[in-house]
Amino acid sequence: MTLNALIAATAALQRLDGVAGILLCKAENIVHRQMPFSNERAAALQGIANQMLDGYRQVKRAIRQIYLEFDGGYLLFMAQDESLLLVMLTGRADPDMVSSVGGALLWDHSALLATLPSVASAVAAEETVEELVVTSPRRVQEMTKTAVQVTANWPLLRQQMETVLNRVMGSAQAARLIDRTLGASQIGDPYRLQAPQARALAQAVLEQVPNTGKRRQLMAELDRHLVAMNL
Amino acid sequence: MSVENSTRLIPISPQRSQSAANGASASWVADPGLITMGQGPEAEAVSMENPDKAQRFASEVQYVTHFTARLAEVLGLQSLRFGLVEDIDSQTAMLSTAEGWVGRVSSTRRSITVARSSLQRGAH
Repeated sequence: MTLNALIAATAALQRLDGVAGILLCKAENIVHRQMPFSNERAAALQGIANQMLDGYRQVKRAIRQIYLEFDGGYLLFMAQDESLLLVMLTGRADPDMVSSVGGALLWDHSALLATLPSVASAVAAEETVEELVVTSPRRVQEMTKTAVQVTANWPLLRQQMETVLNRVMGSAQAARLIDRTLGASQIGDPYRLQAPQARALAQAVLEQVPNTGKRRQLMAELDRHLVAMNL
Repeated sequence: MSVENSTRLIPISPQRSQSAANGASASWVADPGLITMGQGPEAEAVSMENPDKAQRFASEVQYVTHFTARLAEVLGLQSLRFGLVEDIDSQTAMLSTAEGWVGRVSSTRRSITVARSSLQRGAH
């Protein structure tokens, strides 16, 4: 069972207006953390929130939510069983909307949350879950700078290779040739190919064409397609 | 101060929350709506129409302000202005005013916005 749906739901919650940060945990286990400060500070926040909820549990009070409005920011805790969804808000937020969405999130994913361990995981949550949370244009810029350029248009590249190969062989034969070359190159995921690897793969496919003149002609045609695809 | 249906506004002094973390006890003064906190071992003397709710509110403020002081320290926030604690049976809302804490314990679930605005109206 994956956490993807749960992480997607928390990401959607974070996109609500005025939501500055989210922490989802089950007892000591942090399931998702997207806070505008360090992990240590988030852990301290989690510890205090859990102590507060533990105190209520000791007197048999099943807390649903706690809303705290400070001079400099707002906190909303939503609890269900051992799960705690902690949301940090700015003055722009509609706390009732966030409360409603957060409550639904805990309810909808209660079965999944019930299966998660209550103790802190040895591996940090962000190392096990791939996610994309876009928080601001600046953040997008930072992510774009640090992101590795990969060939996300693998289907188009494959189509171009097949088109070129179809000039000298049938479609099925072209497809098999591409698959065979891909397998021999030991590339695991063609969608994560970087541009030089993609070009090398395309050239390796055309190297299989026995006729030298045809091969050179096809190579020139494919090269134009690769340039058009920024590869 | 307004009284709203079955619930009531319960103001307590700022000293109550200040001393809450120190385990201070509470005492109710002659004004049935006003609660003050006293230091020392004296027992609570409740003189309100619904002492259970008054005591519940005082305990809630004491507990919440203890933890919010720690939260504020960790997050670099300022003092608590408004708080709402909701369990499956009841809802406690508390608003900090110049005169002290004003709040309500209610079995009726209100939205956060309504609970806050209701206390703000009652505090003025």
